[in-house]
Amino acid sequence: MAAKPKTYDEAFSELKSLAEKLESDEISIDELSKVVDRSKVLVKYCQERLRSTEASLNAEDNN
Amino acid sequence: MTQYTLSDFNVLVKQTLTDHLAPSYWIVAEIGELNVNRNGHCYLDLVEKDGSQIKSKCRGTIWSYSFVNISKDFERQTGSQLVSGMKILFNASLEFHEVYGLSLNIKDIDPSFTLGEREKQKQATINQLEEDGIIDLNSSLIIPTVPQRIAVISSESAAGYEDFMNQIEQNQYNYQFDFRLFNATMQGHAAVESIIGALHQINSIEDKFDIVIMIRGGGAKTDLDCFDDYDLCAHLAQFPLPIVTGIGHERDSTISDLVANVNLKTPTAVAEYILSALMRFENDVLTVFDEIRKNATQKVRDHLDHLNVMKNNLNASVEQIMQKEKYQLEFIATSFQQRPFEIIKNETNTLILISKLIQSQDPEKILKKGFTLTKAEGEYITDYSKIKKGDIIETISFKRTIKSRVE
Repeated sequence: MAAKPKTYDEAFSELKSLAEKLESDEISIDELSKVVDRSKVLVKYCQERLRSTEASLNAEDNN
Repeated sequence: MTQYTLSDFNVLVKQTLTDHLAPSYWIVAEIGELNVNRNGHCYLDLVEKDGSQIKSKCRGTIWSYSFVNISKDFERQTGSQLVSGMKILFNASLEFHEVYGLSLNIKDIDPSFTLGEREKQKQATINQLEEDGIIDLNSSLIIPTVPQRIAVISSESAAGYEDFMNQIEQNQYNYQFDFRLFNATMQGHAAVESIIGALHQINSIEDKFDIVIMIRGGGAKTDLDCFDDYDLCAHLAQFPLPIVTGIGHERDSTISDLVANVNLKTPTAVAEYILSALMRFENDVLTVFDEIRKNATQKVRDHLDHLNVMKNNLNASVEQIMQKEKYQLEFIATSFQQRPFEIIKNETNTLILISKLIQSQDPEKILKKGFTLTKAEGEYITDYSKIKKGDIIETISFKRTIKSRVE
């Protein structure tokens, strides 16, 4: 779960599954903040990728 | 035998033709070559082919005063200019010139014939693509959720390309893209090979791209026939990446549009399509995130509420217990205050009773009543059986004491 998503589709389906788990009450209060933090990471990943090109992303990764 | 000079003979030919031919005929032929000189006169080579063999050939002319109107009307109705390779139905008279020989003087062209021919050809191409089983191939490819790496087939010098790049690079959402232009001729017959060449280039590095777009600015009515070409369309149909077309047609779509995954009217529409895909994705992401946030917040609230209820219950229970203890203490305290007095009161009453009782036993009270006490030898007598004759007794009454002898 801590791995960086590789594709938009990966990130989005993970996000959806977190939402579903939350909906079905599978998440305990302790895990709640972890779920919210992870979903923030996923959203940030998507938004950053939408606003940068492969080139700039690769440069970032190499730095 | 009659001998003619050449010119006389030509005059005879000319006369014979004039006598025996109608003023004009409607003729179907293919334009082999077409040239317009600087005076505006159009000179054509008209042919009829059998496969690739030329079966028949004749020169044709359209004088400038006719050509202006004919070509305008033709272009308006078919969307194309008169070009080589095109089959036309025209109305012409046969001209015989003594020096230049035979030619057809074209007075009118029927655009609907060419349209019909084009439609027939188009339909034949479509049928062939269907038969080959490739017509749906590109349409069945799935466009990635976020098409960000884009191969562009267009002409660098075309206005459509520039407009497209401006629109998409300066989008208000600040979305970024990886574009790579594959330059190609986008009109006329040269376009077919040029575009196929671009497709091959893209194919060799296809994993670097999400989609291919083929764009061409509209504006002027230029030849779209190249986009109906079987060869080009076969390449497009079988291409491994989804193809999006925006080739600026005003009316009918071309076969290229038909085989493409997505076909749009203009480069602008293509830009909007791509941007809206990213926008839709971002929206979906934010919507799910919003659900998560709301849900999490609600859960925390519920939990807090529950804790609160528990706390209140606890408080209530404690309160109850405390209250009970308090009453008990108060009760005891009160008891402590009252009891001593009660005891004393009781004891006092008892004492009073006892004293009354004692007082009631006072001999004086008895003597007052008339009773007497008897003493003998200084002692009170209770057992009268001990008294004998001759004893001296004292009878004590209330006021006096009487001494007497027992008889």
